[in-house]
Amino acid sequence: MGENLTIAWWNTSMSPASRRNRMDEEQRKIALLIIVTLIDKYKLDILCLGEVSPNDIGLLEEILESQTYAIYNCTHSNGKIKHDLCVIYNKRKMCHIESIEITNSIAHMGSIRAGHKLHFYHSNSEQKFFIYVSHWPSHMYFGDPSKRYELGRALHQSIEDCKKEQNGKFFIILGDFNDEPFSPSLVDGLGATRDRELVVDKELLYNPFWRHLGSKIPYPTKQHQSFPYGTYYYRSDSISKWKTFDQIIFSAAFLKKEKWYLKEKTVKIIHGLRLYELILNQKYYFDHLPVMASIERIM
Amino acid sequence: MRYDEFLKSAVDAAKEANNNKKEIDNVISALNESIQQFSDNKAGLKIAERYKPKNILGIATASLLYEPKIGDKYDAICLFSINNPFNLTELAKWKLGEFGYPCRISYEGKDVYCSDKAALEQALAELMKSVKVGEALLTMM
Repeated sequence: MGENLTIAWWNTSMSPASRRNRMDEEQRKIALLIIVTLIDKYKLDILCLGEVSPNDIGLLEEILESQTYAIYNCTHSNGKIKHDLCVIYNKRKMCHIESIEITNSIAHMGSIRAGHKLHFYHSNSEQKFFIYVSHWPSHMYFGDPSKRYELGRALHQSIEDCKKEQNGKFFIILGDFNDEPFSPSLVDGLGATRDRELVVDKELLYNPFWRHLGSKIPYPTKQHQSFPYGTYYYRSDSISKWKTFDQIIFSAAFLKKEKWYLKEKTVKIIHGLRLYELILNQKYYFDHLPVMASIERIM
Repeated sequence: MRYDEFLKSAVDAAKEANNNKKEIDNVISALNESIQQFSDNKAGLKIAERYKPKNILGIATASLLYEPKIGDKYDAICLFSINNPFNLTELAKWKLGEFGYPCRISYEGKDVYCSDKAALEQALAELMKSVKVGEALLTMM
């Protein structure tokens, strides 16, 4: 068996930028327990978290084993932009080289956060990976489709620049996009498609989350009601309460069986750990499920 | 095969790229004029070629020579002193897109992408708010 790297994303709902540290003691403990369990159960090498505050990261630093895990803290404010992300990574396997904030200038609105680009170096394979972590603004605050398209375009351009300037090949783009896999921001803006042939031929990005729109359990199979229809639950929506806003997207290199490839069987929405029940329970703030995927090294 | 359609779209794309680049030049020129007016003709702004030393030897050479052309070339948005145009202060790295837009302004750990004139003006206005700009202007005025 080859060497694996497993990456996941979870919007924790702990501390949205507009309301940091909103959870009470009980909820915060549940969230921290879920994070630690995710890392342990799924053997995560990189876990990107959304809606976290400096305080939450401080708590995580206390409970994570510091010999193995490091945290890249991205909860700073930059002008009007408040960031709410962090990345936990296995420092025994990966070395964090540098990171940069990708923003999109929008007339009359200033800079809008498109994502964070993190450059990692995998020591064993001597391979560099570029991870883009995003938490795009919601439609409530940033609904204009043409402007949302620009967010995708900014990431796309950053990836193209990185290919030329840093010889980047292995790109993973993940986060809560507040848009579905079929949204123009992701398809036309970012260039993320479901069509694997085109991904390879035209160097597009592959979005395996097209396969995770709706329930994976067909009706009327037993337990069909206990599986989610997406990654994000919006109680007030009258057409579809579930959306697939949380996604992990891969560059063409992962589909070419060159050094590293995407093990698509491992791409999933994690609904265990009682998360599904927690989300449906109005008492709690939780409204997102984690998503994960593994890549394997070709030996 | 008739190539007319392809040739026409290639020419149209080239025209659009030229127009975009002219528009971007005009935005930079307008900002330069504003800075010159504000500073009583003591400082200006331009896009300048810069060189990043590749290694320790390059850094050492760069410190000995004045603006040596050694290392990786890049463009930067710079303030300059009107009395001494070689006195440059780099404010941000600059990258013009293949079609003009999107262009990229990189500073303080961020890459800002601008997809049109209004976005570029907005991004430059944000850049001009930074302390670094104020400090550089103070030394030149």
